[in-house]
Amino acid sequence: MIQTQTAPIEVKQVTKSFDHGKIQVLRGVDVSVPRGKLVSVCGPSGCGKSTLLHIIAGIESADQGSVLIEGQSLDSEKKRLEALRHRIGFIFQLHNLIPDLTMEENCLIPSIATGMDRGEALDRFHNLAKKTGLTHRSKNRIQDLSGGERQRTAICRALMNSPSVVVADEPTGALDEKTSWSVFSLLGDLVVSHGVTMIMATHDLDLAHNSDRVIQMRDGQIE
Amino acid sequence: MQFLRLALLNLRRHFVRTLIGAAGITFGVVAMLCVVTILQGAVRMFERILSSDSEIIMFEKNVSDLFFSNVPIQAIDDLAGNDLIAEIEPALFGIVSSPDNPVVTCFGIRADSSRLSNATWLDGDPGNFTDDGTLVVLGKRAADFLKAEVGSSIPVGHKEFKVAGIIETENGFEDGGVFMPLALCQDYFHKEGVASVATIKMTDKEKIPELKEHIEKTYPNLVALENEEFNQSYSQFRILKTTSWLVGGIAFLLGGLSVANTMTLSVFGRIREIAILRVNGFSRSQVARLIFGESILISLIGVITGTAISLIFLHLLKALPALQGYIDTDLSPSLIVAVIAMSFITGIAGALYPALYAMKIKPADALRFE
Repeated sequence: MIQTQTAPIEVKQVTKSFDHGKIQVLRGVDVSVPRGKLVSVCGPSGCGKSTLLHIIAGIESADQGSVLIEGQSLDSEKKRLEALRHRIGFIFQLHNLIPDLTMEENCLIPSIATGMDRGEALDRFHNLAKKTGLTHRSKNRIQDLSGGERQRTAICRALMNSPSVVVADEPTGALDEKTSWSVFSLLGDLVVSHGVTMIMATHDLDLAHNSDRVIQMRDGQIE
Repeated sequence: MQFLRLALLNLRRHFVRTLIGAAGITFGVVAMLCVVTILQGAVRMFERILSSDSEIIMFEKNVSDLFFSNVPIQAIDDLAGNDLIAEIEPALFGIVSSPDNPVVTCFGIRADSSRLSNATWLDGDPGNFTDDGTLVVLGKRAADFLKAEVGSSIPVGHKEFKVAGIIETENGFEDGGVFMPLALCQDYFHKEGVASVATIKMTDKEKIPELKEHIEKTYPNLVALENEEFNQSYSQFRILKTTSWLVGGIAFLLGGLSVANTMTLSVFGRIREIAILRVNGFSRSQVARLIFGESILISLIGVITGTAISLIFLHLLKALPALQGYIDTDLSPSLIVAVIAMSFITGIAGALYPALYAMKIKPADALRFE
């Protein structure tokens, strides 16, 4: 895990538009997340939360401004790929797992991308499956898992390559209240136990207020 | 290794698609191996008929087919006295039909021909086949389909001939043929004084160039070629060989299209999945490698299945009594290597477009809109 003196997530004056500039989604966003903290980003639908998180994770590029993850800029595809492989874990609202693979196979995907030895990858997986309470489900296909189990699988996968930063885009958005709290609690525990820095988009203000800091967004800007 | 495991996993998950893709390659492999093996086997059979244990074959220059070749018997007899030649045998080829068989090959040969002495005599007396006689010898198969026995008369074209003997040879074409005394054959086919070819055995193989030069100088209308040279240059063989590769190639093209179709459908159906791989650290080149890897594995399955089917099919074909001796079904290692190489090239070519498409998938867009 790479650790520097600077904040693990530094977003400076990021702008992003779609449809050849007709739709302005982010308008000069600045965000800094201190190490080992869980920061929630709240705001109405379409305010730019997901786009901001995609840019932080390197899934999309910013039009302008800069994103630094552990002090490393994400201004080229090569750097974004490097960050996705080693420094960032991403959790989606709809988990985005491959349905007809097993839980174990899904979780091993990031380790295949980095060329990790299978033995080492399996050790890491078993460790994470134990922490997320999914050891008994590791050979089950995703389609046979419940919503909560799927999201916990997505968390496992996001942590496979031991990232220092986890970006979660509404990880509880598709879950019932009880499961949402269970998943949120798991994320909080992982922040502490793995020492990761996490930024999470959520609509759920109750969850947001249990994080270390809440950022409010509206119309592509931080309020 | 993990990468290969993922590729295998993907093929197993999309079993039907994998099966269709592999079936395309299998079809190509079977077509190529069987067509080329059967046609080249037939060519080898023809080669054996023409060369008949000799080192050199002599025929008329610039003829498209040996049936039209005229080699003067005088030239053959003159050459028989040459010290470089151990044996020289004339052979006249002709084709006629019988009531139930549209093609019966006739061989006009001399009584001391190695074609007869090397064969197994099943019935009759070799002494009754004489250079100036009117009796013919039948191959075993010809005797079967003409329902002939020694002493009986058989219709060959517009004439009837009495059978002096029945022989068995290893070559199906000879086994289905009628052997006539050379003079009788010349008379029958209106080819007095000529043979189609002369086969030559050397006293010293090192002196082949010397003899070829002598023949070229003395008989400008004739050409003498070593067996290998003849096989390479004879237009009928070239046509057969080219046809076999062409048919096999077309079959491979169809197989390639099948792989391309399978892989394209596979990529189109997995856009979200590919986006997930990208978000989890797969580079564009890794995605392309995965697609190519899957395609190569499909080709591998096709090669293994196709080769197995071909071996079984050719084995069964060889076992058919009606085809025994007519086809040589031994698979040549070089053909197998060529087919394997073509399968993989086809698999890679078939994955080109799908891989390029997969590389261009933008994960954010794919996950947003899919």
